[in-house]
Parts: sequence; C-alpha cells; structure tokens
Amino acid sequence: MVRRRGIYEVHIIGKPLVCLFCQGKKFTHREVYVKVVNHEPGVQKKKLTLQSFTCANCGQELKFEERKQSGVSDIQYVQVSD
Amino acid sequence: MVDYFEAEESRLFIFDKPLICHFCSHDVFIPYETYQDVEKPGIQVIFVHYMAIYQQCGFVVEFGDASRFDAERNVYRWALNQKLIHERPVAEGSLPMLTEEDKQAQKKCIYAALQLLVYHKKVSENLLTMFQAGQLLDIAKVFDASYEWHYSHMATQECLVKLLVEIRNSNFVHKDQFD
Repeated sequence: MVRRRGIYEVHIIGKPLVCLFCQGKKFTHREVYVKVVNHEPGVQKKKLTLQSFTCANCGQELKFEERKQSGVSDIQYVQVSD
Repeated sequence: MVDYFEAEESRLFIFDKPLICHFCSHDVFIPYETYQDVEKPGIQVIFVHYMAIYQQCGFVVEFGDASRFDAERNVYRWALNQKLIHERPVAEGSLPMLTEEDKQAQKKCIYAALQLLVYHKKVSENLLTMFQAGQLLDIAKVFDASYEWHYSHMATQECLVKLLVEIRNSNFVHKDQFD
C-alpha cells in the first residue's frame, strides 16, 4: 500500500514499534523510494522501496523494508484515529 | 578496513564497533549507498550516505562515513569495516589464464632478470642452468624456501614476480650514481 491515511499503531515481526526519540507509539505512514548510488555505468538505477513511519508526537522518522512470509506481511497496522 | 560497503549480506563495523539493530538486536544486513538532494543553492549537489537494511526485521539504519584524518596522531582513521556472510565463490571462468605468447614473453623476462641478478652476484650461476632445465619452482624456492604455486598454470608469471621482487629489494642503484 502506497499511502495510509490516519494514525496507526504498528507491529513489526510481532513487536510494537516505539519511537526511539520520545517512546511514542502512534505513527503516520508513507511509502518512500530511496535512490541508490550507481557505481556501474549503464546499469539501471536501483531504488529501495521503504515504509516510512513518522512519530505523530515528535516527528522522528523510522524506515522499514517490508518483508513477506508466505504472503503475509511482517508489518501489521492498527488504525487508532483518522 | 574498507573504502566503501558492498551491497551484500554482511556484518558491519564502525570504528570496530558492530552495528546492531535497535529494533530486533540482530546484526546481519545489506548496506546500500544512497543519496538525497541537498538544499539550494547548489546545482546537482547530492548527499551520499548509507542505508543499511537489517535482514531480520527490515529496519533501516542511516549513517555516513566517519573516516577522517587524525591530526593529533598523524594517521588516517578508517571508520568502516565489513564482513561478508557468504564468501563469494571464484567462478571457473574468472580464473586468470595465460596465453602461450604471454608465457614465452615471461620466460624471456625471467631469463633477463636472472642474468641481472647473477651479474650483481645476488644469486649463483646455477640458476641459469636450472632455468634451462625448466625448474621454475626450484628457482622460486631459492628466494622463498616454502613456496608453492598458487596456480600451477601461471608458473612463469609467479616465478617472474619472485625475481622482480628480489630485484627491487636488492636496490642495485648506488647513491652516488644519482649525482
């Protein structure tokens, strides 16, 4: 999913995501693409697709790469407000 | 110490301290060199740094290269070190090969190098007869008693390298010859 509106509590590999700065548990979500430096000319540019979580309290940003185990994402979202 | 990180599964160290995931405490991940645009003014200025993705939980940690010159101790301090999880196997096709022409040319160089060493009395003349008999390994062992070929099909090249190192170490040029 590219974008989720609202504020979420997030669990990754079963653990609750906590802001490293303010210990907040509520995050907004956005999918982001990060450009990778290209050392070999002629090779197609690579991008990382990451899930970015911004702490709703302090704005600290945490990024994760989504993994899937047998079709189930290891990131679970629980919407707590709009 | 490494100049830059390769994007392979590995353990990373910054100033010998291992990087450990803040979220899941695992330490295996793939580092990517990424870039972002910086603020204006500045035309096509980008900020290069690393984003390492932990392979257990997917957490992304961002960091830069803190290598710098230490003016107090007058040394350059390398920050980054990387240990690959999977040793890359040497592909069969990438083994170095020598053509017959290369080997003949290298034999000529070996002969010339031996003559130079004999002329400066660094080695005995027996080595020339050993060369005629094709005993390249024995010649290499004169300089390094326990030497064995890394690649036996590259014998001429390895023997030549031994001789060139010996020539470099012998330093035939006398100081007064510069004046």
